[in-house]
Amino acid sequence: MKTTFNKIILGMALWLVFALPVYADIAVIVRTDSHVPYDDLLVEKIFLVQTLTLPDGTKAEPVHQKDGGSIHSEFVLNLLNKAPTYIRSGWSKLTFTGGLKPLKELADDDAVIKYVENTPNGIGYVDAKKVKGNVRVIMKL
Amino acid sequence: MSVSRLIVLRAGIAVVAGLLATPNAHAVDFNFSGFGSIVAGYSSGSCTPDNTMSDKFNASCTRFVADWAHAGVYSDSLDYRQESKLGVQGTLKFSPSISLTSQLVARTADVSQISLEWAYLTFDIDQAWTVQVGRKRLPLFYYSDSQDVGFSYPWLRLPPDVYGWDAVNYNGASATYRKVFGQWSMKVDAFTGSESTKNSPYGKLYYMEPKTIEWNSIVGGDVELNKNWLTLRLTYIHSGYQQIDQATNTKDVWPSGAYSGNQTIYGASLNVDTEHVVVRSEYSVFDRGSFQYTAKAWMMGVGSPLGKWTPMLTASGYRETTRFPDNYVASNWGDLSLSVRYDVTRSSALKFQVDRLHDGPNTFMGDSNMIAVSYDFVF
Repeated sequence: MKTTFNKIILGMALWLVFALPVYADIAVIVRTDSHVPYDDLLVEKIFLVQTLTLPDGTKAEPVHQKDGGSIHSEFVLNLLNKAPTYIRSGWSKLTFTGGLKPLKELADDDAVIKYVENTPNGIGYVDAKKVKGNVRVIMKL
Repeated sequence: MSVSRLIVLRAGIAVVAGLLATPNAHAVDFNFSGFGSIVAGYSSGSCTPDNTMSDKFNASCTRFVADWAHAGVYSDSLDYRQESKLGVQGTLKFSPSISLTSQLVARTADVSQISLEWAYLTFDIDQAWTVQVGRKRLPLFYYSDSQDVGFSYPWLRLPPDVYGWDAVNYNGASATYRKVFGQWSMKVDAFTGSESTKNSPYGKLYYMEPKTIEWNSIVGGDVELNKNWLTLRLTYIHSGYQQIDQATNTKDVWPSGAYSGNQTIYGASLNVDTEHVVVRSEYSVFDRGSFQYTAKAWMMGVGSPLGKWTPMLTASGYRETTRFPDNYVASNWGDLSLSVRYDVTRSSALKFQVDRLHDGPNTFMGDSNMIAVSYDFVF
């Protein structure tokens, strides 16, 4: 009886593990030659467009993945701890406000990697498995 | 429309047309965007024919002032004109640090018209300092800058008890400073200028005769503080204030007996945004007490983003007090609303909102229930 019960529990546990959605690991990337001392807080503030000023006084050039994709929503939910609707409505507030402008959005991982490779203060995020080329991972989530 | 206003509007249209005509110019970077809202609704409830609004609004049994600044007032029949609007904005970047921004908005409330909301030059002096000169939005409240952009907020409309005043823009200059302190980002604005609104739509809510409302010698500042989940905002504005009767070209007399006065406005806002919670709150005081009244307005909304849906429950209130009760009837009302936003696409949202407004004891517009649907979009 006890064995049967254990089997049921094990079965339920396995079902739970496989039924949960599988999320991709996300890597935040910069150019290999970047010397900016990024930390979690700076990355968060840059992607919320609360500041674009880097510690050395130069300007960060962040880029988002296209809203609607799984990488974008996972990044927004897990790193920024925001609902996607907040980012969307917040973007439109920035667009029509006389201050900092909303960030560029690129179509996919390859486009983000290419942009970061070619932009001195570029910073973006991609599926961790897709990292390649002249970029360095500064944070993984 | 006065000649000067016509010239300003034509200049604005010329700027936007000019911006549109040069999208391929290599020397300048051009950016064009727009927004719109289609809103339909009506008010209902027990009949209140006895109100103290302008006679224009007496024909209806119930009424709901949705947009004070543009005289968007719902009656008891279905109406799509009171809050619908379409706006375009062009930004021309002459260099990395100098740009020109212009925004035009077409409305169907009051009299159908296109208005020049913004036309200003931006000088980004460095990463921290920005100076802007021209026609700009008056930063009274948290959502003032994007108040015409329905897509930028969770409700169908900004709570009128707080966002309902007689000036929206000003002509002048502002300086902005940004700084990060540990977890907090700070943005500080200081500004000065003036605003004159001829044929004031706000004035039409109170008078049948056309009025010009003037805010002169505006001086003000605001501070916005942000950390990941929390936004705080404080604002202060001081200005001269007067109202001119256009038919006689004379200043109207205030309850105090004076023909003009000074107003002081201050307010605070606290917002929370997490993955599961959205809180919006605002408190503001319009002190016109030396000549007319002091008005305190507040609002508090709580909601929860659930995927594409954002339901919100919001309470708000408006209360006037006066030192001249023999010459002025103080107003006092409150509103409770339930709203739902549904993000249809990344750039459009459908909204539904019901409001229950209680006005009294001195009736201005009367009690009403308000029901409305909207489609907001940006492009």
